[in-house]
Amino acid sequence: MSLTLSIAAKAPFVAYPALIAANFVNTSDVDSSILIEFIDEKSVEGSDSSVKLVSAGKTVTDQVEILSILAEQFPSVLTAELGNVWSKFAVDKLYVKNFKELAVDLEKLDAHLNFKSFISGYSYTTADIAVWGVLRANALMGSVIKNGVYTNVSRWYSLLADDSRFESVVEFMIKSVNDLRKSAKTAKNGGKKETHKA
Amino acid sequence: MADFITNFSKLSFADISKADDSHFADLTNEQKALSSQFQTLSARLDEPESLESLNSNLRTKTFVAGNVASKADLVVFEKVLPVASKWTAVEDLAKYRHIIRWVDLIQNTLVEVPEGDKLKVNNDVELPREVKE
Repeated sequence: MSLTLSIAAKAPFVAYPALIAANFVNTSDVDSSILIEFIDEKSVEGSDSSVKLVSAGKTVTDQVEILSILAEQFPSVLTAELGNVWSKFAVDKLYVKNFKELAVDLEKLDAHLNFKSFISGYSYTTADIAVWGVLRANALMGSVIKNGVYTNVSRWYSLLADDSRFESVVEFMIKSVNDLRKSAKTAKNGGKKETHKA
Repeated sequence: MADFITNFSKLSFADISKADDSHFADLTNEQKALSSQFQTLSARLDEPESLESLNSNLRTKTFVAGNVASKADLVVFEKVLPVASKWTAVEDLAKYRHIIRWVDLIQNTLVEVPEGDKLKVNNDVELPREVKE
């Protein structure tokens, strides 16, 4: 089965959750891999979403649904969050740039993590991937995490940041987008040359 | 890290003393220092500062030595479990919340504890938010 994940690199919030989930699959020893393409736009083609997954001809742009599909197809690599409660919470509540609004929901997350090392159970689920990825994409969060404003959130965040499959997606995206821009520039220059010749 | 937990075969509570460093990933020097510091400290849990120091260490770290499990998690767990099982007042749960979180992680990942001896964690207790000093 062929799977292609498209990520809009200029989106106000980059779809890191889907990218991390795909990275879990691509760095595992399962036989298939997910093709990842970056688009140097604010949204993916044919939609106003920052992400889309094309799987067996079917296109999905809802990020929570994308995580569910990947967990369903790669159960040995990704554990689905039951009911997607926190995955939805991440996408609905934490993609916010107003700190006052965000603070209320960060308190909820912090309270949830009082006696928990992971969002659900004792290992990663798609909930951890969703919440971490959304916080990583939110420019407001860097200093909030670093300063330990929400102690439990900071501890949990740092555990995942130490796992190479999480933080590495950021560098991977920056590198891919730079390559994309370089080749676009070359193509443009090539185009100019042709015009000049003609 | 989570892969490590999944692959780790649980030790029984009675066998904790048999565990050695070879069960775990290599530690950095800083992690080694923490591991040894808290193994030493676990011998004097009767001093109140010991528990406070452990709780404060686990505020920023998922495991005793950092974001990676080590022998210290087993050694300290063996000593802390009976103490933590006595905490019932909300005041204690709030004060030692990080130890409780960690005990629950260890008893569900690294150590097989007989059901009756497990720490019961009530996730419905509402604790006041911990404000950074």
